[in-house]
Amino acid sequence: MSKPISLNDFDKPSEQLTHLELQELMPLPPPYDNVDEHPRWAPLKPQAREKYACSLDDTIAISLPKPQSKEEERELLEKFVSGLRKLLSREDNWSFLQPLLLSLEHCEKCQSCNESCPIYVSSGHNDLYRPTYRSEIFRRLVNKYGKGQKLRAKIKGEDIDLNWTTLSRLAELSYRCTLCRRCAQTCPIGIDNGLITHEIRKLFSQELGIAPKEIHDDGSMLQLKVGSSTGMNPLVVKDNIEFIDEEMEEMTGISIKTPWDKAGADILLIHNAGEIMAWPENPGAFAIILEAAGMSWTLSSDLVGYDGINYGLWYDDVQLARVALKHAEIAKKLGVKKIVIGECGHASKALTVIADRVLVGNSFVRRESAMTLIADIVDSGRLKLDPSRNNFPITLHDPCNLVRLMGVVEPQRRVLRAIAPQFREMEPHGVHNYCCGGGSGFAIMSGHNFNDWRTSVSARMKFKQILEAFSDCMDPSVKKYVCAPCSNCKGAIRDLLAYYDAWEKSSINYGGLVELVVNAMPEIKEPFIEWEWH
Amino acid sequence: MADHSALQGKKILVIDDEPDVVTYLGAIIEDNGMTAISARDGAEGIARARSEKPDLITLDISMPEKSGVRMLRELQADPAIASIPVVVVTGLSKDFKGFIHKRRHLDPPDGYIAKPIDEAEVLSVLSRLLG
Repeated sequence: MSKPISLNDFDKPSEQLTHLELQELMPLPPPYDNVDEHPRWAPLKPQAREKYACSLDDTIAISLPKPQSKEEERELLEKFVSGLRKLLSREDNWSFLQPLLLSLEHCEKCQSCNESCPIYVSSGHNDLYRPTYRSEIFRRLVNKYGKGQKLRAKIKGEDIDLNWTTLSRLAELSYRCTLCRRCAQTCPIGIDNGLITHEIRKLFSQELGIAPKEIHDDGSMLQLKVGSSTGMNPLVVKDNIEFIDEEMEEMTGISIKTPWDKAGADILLIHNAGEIMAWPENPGAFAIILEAAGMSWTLSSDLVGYDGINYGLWYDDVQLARVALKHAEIAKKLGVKKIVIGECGHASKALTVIADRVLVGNSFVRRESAMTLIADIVDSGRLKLDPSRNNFPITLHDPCNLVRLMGVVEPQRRVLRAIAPQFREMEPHGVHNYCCGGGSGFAIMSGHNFNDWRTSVSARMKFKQILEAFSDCMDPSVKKYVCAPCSNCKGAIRDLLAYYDAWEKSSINYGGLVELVVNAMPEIKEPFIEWEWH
Repeated sequence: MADHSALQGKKILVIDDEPDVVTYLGAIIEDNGMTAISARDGAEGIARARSEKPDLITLDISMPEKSGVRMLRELQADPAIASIPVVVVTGLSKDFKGFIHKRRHLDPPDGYIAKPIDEAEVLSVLSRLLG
């Protein structure tokens, strides 16, 4: 049994604050209930342990190099304090200061939020992963090192020492939360531990330049430089879409030519560019639906205009603003009526409710989720649809960003009820659903053995939900589909299903919503859903 | 030390719009007994492939004017040069490989070199294809 840990252990150097045993994790339902059959975690390599901070738990998320001198260590600690004070100042943190202070100040430590956290529960109730644990560490640091801020702290032993151990553990711990906000939803007074985690990440990124490489260098910076976090420049994306158009035409018999940069179109559709390469059938399905429904739409080949990703959402307000403003600028240049964001919860939230904080005044442009657009198209009767073509068990994953955090709950269900006779809900679902485990960037972070941690811990509750939703048809002879209208969630669910061989063992596959809509169109020549692992 | 003697005398066409990449790849190629020729863009690349008939082509995906994706299609569509092995040089995410491999009317490239370019990887790929 892992040793219980207390808040007072956090700033004390030790080899590792906590360790997880597979047997201690939350049990999974049959046929995955035998822990001995689960993959074993790869241990951290000795070179990684030597080079990077790894005294938190069994994995490394951010590859934070250990300082090579006392001078370097002192500099990091000074920057942390400087960043902490900026985080608490109106001038430097005007965008999120108020909700941050409310959450820091008013938590009553009732611990109600912890049971709602899938990571805490899946870990076997390991104290390190309590939402309140991380927030309380941060409160202690605010009390001791923040200037002019004194928060109420009712927990005994509130002292904390800011040293390399504290700093490196807190940096890592800020990447043990998917920012799903189940804690905030459960809290009787709305304390948002996810926001506190986000702000901690922001402090490390904006002040110390510490962030996962996959998110910053390979994500935000690449997007602003090349046009997309995938590395696709405008020519490559157009050629890739042309490929997809040709194949859609071949598969469906419907002539498809994706419009680019069409001035005056009603809709500027912005996908998560990762869809184009990882799940090309998804942008392909969008093109089929929009053309078949006679919509006036376009993609943009401007830099950033073809990629709805905004990684700044997770860790850096400056990057967030840069990308959001660019999207709005492109929409205005084209003179479209609105931007529609494709199947990506992250992009949807970033460009709607969060970008509201930056797209003010002349920067404003109308934005809409694809869920409402597709639901309107299905409701309108503009498409002929035959639900018998989707007669297999389907469950719906509710992406946190789209559903809990934006309230887009019903449209995708309306669509599924119209086209999927064997649609069944996961429990809980809607705004109470659980995170896929890949939120906040986790789905693209696989360095070291982080994949083991996220599939075994942060995605564990999602796997349990999927298995329970299909408990009446788990036999591999029955092909089953997890509908996940979100790129990031699909990536996480793909890795989750692959980790447990769920396609081979139980015939569980996954995909988006629009693919199911096209699969239901009687005029397409071949079934659109290809039952093969991808 | 790996044996690259089988590469001696081979002619490699480097298609890339970045002069630094052309220089670096060219140096690796020449230092290992091969001949490097280059082209700055897709159109020039196709022309040189036809005229020089290299033993292998390295192809940058992200070029201006014409992307490497389109170039790959054109190379494969020309019977005179379709049999030349093509190695794609790319900084694109790993999903790109999966995307290219699943395309119905395109043969996947014969190899990949990831950016930033690593000499050992280059020689390993070339040896595998030309050795």
